[in-house]
Amino acid sequence: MDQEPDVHDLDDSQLLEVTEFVWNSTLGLILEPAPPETGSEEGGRVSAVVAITGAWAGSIHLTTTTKMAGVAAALMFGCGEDEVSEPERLDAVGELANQIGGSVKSLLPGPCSLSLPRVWVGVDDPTGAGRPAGLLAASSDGHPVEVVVVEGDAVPA
Amino acid sequence: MVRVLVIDDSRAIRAVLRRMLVEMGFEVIEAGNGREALTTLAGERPDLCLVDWNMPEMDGLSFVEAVRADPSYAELPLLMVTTESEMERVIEALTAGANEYLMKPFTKDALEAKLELLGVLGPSLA
Repeated sequence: MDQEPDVHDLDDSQLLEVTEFVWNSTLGLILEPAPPETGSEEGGRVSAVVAITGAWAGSIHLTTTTKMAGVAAALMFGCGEDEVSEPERLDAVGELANQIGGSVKSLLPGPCSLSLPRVWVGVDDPTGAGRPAGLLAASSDGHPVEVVVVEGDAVPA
Repeated sequence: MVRVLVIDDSRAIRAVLRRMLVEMGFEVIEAGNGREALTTLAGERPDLCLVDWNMPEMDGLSFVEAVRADPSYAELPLLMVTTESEMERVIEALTAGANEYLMKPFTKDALEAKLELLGVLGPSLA
């Protein structure tokens, strides 16, 4: 008899709970479930990914708008949105991805290690990184926030 | 005034910690990784270090090990502030010489509670 694959999926409520806690603790903002974004919002996207290796292998992908990245950076750096630079926006989103990744890691089999975040301006396509194991489509301050958990050994591109 | 060295590769989270610590009455200095922190430590002589785990060049655990290998820093309080939440990691850090452990994400109240446990925050010091 074939053995069932060792699959670890996160349910929607777990992913929402950890992301909501990161958003609220670090930014003081509310995060709510929302329909998946249509890509119609202006201003481009910022994406970040952290890899998990060890007893569970995969990656956590965070994508939001450049505008939300600016809101996050302004809140974290304690300044106005018009005062934050692009490196500061990327730094803020990278740290949020790092915190979400760490929280997700605590829900998975261990021991595991978390990589440093990789952050860039643009849309992420996590489909090539492995098997989707969790998806959160949410909204904060009117901006879409998406978190995708992917199980697989592939190094995120 | 109690001087705190905040060690984290994210400038954004250093800014968050700086704001909280300044509100609590601390003086804050910063470093972006463990190697930079060792240099800062020698020159600035802080009273407390907040240490992230995952950083480029030298991670937080290696920093803790390096600090504890130097007898002149034997009494320096080290608080890990990290996303590494597994019990094995907590034990590893405490065994290496960290005094306390705070998991990200954290609130100001949680940070304050850890600083009280370390004896660096209180009516006589704040």
